Amino acid sequence: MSAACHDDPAPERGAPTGLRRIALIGSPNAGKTTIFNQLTGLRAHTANYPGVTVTRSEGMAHTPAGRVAVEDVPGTYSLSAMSPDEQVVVDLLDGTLPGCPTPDALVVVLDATTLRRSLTLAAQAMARHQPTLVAVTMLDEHAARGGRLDLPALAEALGVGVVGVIPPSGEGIAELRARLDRPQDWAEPPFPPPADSEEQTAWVRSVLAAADYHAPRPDATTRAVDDVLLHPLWGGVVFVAVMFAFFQTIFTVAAPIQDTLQRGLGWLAEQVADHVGHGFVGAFLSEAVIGGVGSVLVFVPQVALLFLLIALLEGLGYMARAAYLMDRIMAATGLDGRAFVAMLSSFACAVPGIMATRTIGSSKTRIATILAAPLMPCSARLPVYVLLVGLLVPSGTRWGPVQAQGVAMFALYVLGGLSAMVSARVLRSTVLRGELVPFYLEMPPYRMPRLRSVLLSSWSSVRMFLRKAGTIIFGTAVVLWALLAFPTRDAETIGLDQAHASAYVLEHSYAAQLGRAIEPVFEPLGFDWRIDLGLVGAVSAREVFVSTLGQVWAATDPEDPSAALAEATYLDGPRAGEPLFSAPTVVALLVWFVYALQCMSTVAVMRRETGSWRWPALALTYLTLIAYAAAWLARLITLAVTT
Amino acid sequence: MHPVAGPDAATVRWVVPHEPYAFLAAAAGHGALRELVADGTLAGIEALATCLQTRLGPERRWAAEADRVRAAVRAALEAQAPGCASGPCGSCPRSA
Repeated sequence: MSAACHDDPAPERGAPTGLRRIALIGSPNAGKTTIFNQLTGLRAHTANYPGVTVTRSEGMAHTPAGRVAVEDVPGTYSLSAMSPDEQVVVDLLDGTLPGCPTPDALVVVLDATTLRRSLTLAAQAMARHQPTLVAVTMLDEHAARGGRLDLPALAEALGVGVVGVIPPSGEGIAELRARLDRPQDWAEPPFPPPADSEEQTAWVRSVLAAADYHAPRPDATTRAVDDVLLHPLWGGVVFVAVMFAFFQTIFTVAAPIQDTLQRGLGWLAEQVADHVGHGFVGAFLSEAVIGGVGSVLVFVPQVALLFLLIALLEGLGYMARAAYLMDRIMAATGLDGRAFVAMLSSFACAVPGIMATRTIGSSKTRIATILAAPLMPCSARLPVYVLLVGLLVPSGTRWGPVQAQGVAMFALYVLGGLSAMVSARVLRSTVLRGELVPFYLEMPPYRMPRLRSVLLSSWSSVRMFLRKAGTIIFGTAVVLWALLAFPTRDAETIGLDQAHASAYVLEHSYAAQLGRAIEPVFEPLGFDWRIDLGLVGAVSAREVFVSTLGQVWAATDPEDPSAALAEATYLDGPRAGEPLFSAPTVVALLVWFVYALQCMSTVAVMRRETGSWRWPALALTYLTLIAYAAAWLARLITLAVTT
Repeated sequence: MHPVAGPDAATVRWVVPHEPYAFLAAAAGHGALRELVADGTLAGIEALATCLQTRLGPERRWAAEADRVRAAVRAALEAQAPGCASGPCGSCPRSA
């Protein structure tokens, strides 16, 4: 799994006890998390679509008089929870969230462009008899589209303090920060707004009239663009084109940088050989560090570009459109567009994708989405795919202007996405049968993402990837290196040149014994013990497959492991001497990685989100069986086609 | 309509987002409000330029009486100008 991966979508830091606690609540996509980031200096994930925040986050805000703890919670349209993420808000306010005391005060974040709807939530918040302050966001957009709002009059009508905030520019944040100091002095209404829905509606209309509120015109640009992007036919065509261009970009832009990194690693290996030698330390550096971790790090350009493009699409507001477009197709699978949002989040990593299912109200739909989400191609698969596609399709192959490797990559992503949908359909028709709850998702206006937000979001994900390379992947590489390097065979290798001595040690290592023990299981798929070793390592994280191959072939040829890998042959058995990475074997490997649930973090988060080991066990079983059967079938078909 | 704090804690003004506001004087005399004055819930009702002002009776608390007063004010406004308590609806027959 990618690491981007294994951090919750938003940071959570415990506040020292005794500090005043203030909760930010508001409708989805109102700008709460951006305010939270501005107040606390943290970098919780933000994007331009509803449902980005699905967990509670906590940070420290420095105020003129000291510090307060600020809590960011998932967006909600009301305090009558309909989904697990909304329940977090209600539980927090009720004081029933484990380990979280009831907040001392509430800041209700209201989007000026949708104030009519948002005031219902404000009414419910004010009815809780806690000090309440209102922060009105999107004032610039509201005014630009001809909207009108008198903030002092709104404050008078509501009976509570109102602060206008434009989070991206930071306007109003200083005033908000100053007010956080003394919630006990915040204005209070004579009594709370009515609870009865009809009376509440009357209250909202009256407050808006008193505040001289005029709703903004519909965004002309958004409407014009949506005429195309939400069109039943053209919207679908654009969606496929966007995804296609996505992978073309990843290959064409990142490939030269990756080549440079690859050359850099080769140079490093030469330096190690020249200056450290081929002894114990030299072998560790060239095989475990350069061959293992280095072989994963060369894919950082692709991973960075993937996260950058995702952040751009999120910031623009395209994700909500994609979910809308896919709703009809998803309905055929027994899921809805909200499930598609969760699946899109899995593009980066299945962990936030699975957590994003908290926005789904129906428990059966939610579990079906959780079980299907690991099939969505995540960033951890990217290095594996890039490596294997590189072995399957010669670099530089083009069909006209189209990069052939990019097409293969796109096909893998389509296969993963389709498989997730088929899997969901089967689950919803069998063990998770049930009614489909109506889907609603607010379409945010298109917004030009701020460069800083996009870069920060991408960097945050890349940093997680790097951290993972330095921890899980490095740790696994060290263990594997020891298994590959021992037992030493000094006596048997006397008189052999370096390459033959390395090959002899490798073939008689503990790792070889382990690989050979499981070789019969994967033999029908065309995998030899070295590939099997990679599959075993990849159980902890998929990228480890790349580092394992890097190490094995670095042990074979420390100075050019890539060439050694491409030219590898079967060492023994009936296929001895034949190319190891033939098209049938590479296709089988690719298909294996499309389906296999090789990510312990995903299994752990499945357990946490479903509250049982039953569902992760089911996912592990069905995905492993499908991976094996599909890889075997893919090998047979490729053999038939290529021979 | 929506309540806003008056000049003191016992006074609440029910703001009506309509104009002209002449119907407020008639609403102030509505039976539902007179009943609240009679039973001591309210000490008085006054029609101001843009709102009805209600003063709470002695030893009464808004927390306990707000819903009853709200219902009475609503009934009084609706009787004079149907729909007006729900805010400007465009079809409300505003009184002159």
